[in-house]
Amino acid sequence: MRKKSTGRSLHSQRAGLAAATALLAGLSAPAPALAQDAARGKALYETHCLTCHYERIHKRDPSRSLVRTLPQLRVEVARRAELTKRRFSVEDLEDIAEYLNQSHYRFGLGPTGARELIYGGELMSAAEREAYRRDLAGAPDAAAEGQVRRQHRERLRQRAHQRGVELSEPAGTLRK
Amino acid sequence: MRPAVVALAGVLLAAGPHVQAAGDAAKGEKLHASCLQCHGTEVYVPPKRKVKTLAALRKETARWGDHYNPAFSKAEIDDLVAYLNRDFYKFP
Repeated sequence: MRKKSTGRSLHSQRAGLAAATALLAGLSAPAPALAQDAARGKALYETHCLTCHYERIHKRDPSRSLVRTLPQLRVEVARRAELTKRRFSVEDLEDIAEYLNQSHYRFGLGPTGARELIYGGELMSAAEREAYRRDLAGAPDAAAEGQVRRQHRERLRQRAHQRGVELSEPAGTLRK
Repeated sequence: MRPAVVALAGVLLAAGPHVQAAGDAAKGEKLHASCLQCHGTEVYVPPKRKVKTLAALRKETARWGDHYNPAFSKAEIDDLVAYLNRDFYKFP
């Protein structure tokens, strides 16, 4: 009888501890773990990640990218977070990964349907833009497409330099 | 013959602005997401407005529309113009 009651009290103590832990977790992370908050991730990303690298590292050719799956993206975010020497919570890391997946990688999300602004389009003629669109559409795979894009960017950077103007990165609009 | 030509011209002139306003603003608002990658809507309400007519708005929208891959179609430009005019420019 007594033993049983002790057992029960121990059990209720444990339950209380679990509840307290859950409460603390809830306090330190307002967003539940499963509902990653991309907006929060964006803010974290812009504050802590862009101090060392630009957003264009996410636009690398898939063939040269370290990140080819969603798990790889999470691993890479955690690895980089460690380099900042700041402490990130699990929720922080998940939110950053969620933001990057939505904004760039789109694993399991399908295409955005968004159009891309042609890099340096303001320095090109209508015929040149049309030819560039044709080249991209005609690329047999992602690697060939990346090649077309890289060559295009390089050519337009040179053109901007010759004309004494500057293009913004990564969009490639004229800086005024 | 001549009155017929004049009448036809009259019909075309009357149809002109109507065709421009034929875009779907709701569709245009969705298409507009591509524009927001680079700028916010503040560019539509500058302190000193350069775009002063619906025709100028259409021209400017079409100019940028051709800087995209894929390029915006004529119908999509109409939709964008309808959205921009409804929410920002408000030309008659």
